[in-house]
Amino acid sequence: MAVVSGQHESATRGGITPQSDSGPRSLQRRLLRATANGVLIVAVYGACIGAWQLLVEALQVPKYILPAPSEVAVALWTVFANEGLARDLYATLVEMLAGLAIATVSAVIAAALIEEFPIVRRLVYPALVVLQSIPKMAVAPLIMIWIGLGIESKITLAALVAFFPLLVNSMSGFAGYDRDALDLFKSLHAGRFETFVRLKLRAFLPSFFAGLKVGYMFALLGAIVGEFLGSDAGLGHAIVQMQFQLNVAGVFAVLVVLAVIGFVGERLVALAEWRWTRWRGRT
Amino acid sequence: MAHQDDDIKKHTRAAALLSADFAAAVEMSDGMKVFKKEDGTSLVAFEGVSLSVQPREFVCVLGPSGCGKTTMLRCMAGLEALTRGGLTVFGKPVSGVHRDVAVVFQRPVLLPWLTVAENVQLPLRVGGYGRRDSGVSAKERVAALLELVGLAGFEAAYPYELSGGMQQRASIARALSRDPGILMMDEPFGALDALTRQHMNFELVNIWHKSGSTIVLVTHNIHEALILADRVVVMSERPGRIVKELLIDLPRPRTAKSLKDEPDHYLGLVREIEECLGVAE
Repeated sequence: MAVVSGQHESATRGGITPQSDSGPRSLQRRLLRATANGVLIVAVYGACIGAWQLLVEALQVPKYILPAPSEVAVALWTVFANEGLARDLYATLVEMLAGLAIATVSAVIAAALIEEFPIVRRLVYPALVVLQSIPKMAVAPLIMIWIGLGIESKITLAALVAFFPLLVNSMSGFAGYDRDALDLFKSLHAGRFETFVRLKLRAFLPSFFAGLKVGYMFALLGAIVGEFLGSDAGLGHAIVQMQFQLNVAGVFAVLVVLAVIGFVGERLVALAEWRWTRWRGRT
Repeated sequence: MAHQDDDIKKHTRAAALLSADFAAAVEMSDGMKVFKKEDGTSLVAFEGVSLSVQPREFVCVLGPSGCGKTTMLRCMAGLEALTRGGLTVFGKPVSGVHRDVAVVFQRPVLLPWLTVAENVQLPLRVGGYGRRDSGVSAKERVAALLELVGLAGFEAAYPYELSGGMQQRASIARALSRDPGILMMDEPFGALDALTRQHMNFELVNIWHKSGSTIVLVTHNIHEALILADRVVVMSERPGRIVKELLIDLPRPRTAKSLKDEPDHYLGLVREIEECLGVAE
């Protein structure tokens, strides 16, 4: 009964003031809900991993085909402690983040120029359509020939692969402003630069963050594939080494590390997205 | 070119001396707007429109949908150039949007990433206005404007948290923030339900009284025009022409009740307008 009346009270307040969710009672309830959610998730996925462990043991699946989760956990500790995976992790992070930075800056600038100058759009658009249709990974061997096997070729590949989703999303971001707002800015005598910064650059953000999420994953992919093709460091290099040694548990350990990189990046972008596009409201 | 300017000056001067029109807040003379369509044909939105609006006057432009009245307002506001004809604001010929003109659009067009207060302040921050306006506290000004439009206390709210009527109130506050002499309103309440609309009509009359602005408002709602206007200008179907001007001498303040207290007067005006629009039968 107390719970019911509490809900009712909160709903009434919600109707009057927009910021009612910040009340201590509703914060408490949200924390409770989040905890319950977390417990459920851990239980379900824990059960799946447990089943994996049991099945591998019961069916006596060979270690070099599918290692048990416990073996992956041991391998995860071993690769960091004995095989210097930290160095590989660092190399891959540098490659992908450098590539992502280059891709982001160039994609945003390109999209802004395409939005602001119709002549640029007309000139660049056909090239974009053609380049879009080439699988970027297929260009990787060429990049190795041109730039060599060092870190630069991985950065290039990461940037190249991340560039297109970022460009496409940035373009639709810059085009996503309210057309009527152009009239508003015109009626206020706002200049072209002012209109760009205060209207287009703000309306651009939601779509940009969608592109950044994809671009982040693509940059990681580009860096790893670059390392597959030839390198002396990086998580991709580590995977290839372990493949040669039939260290399947080690490969799984690196995959876990890659998944963590992906997850952390996605959360970071989501946090920035929340910070900068809160104005879209709850949907 | 300079010669032509001189001619216009002389002409305006002469007109000013000859008539009381010198005081006109906005005046369009023999205005015409033609749009070139992509297939090469052209479309005449309106033609032969001459309209003079006096300072502090409230003029409603009434016409059927698609009659070019919105285009006419956009031209009067300076958002679009006339194909032919002249436009003066306070007696001076203008091109582009005059500094004394503010526009209220059909949609509120609030920037969703700004709070209500920031949206209302926007005109004070762009278009070189901020440099001129340094003395007055912007915060106090915004608070006063929001009070005027009945949005006090919603400074920190975001547009998505407001109803349609409240959003349009915020857009009216924004239009008033530079203290413009003239408000151009393009069917500002068209998207609202009938009750909210009538309520906003009475509120707008209050705002008009308090702010001392000149208002030109486009609508296709006869009832709305009769609540608001000193003068109703009726336009024909496209190409839009002015077919009738009526002085609305319904006593102010007009309320839902006062309009019903004099039904003959009110209904007479409605009938007259309907006849002009050809919808009487």
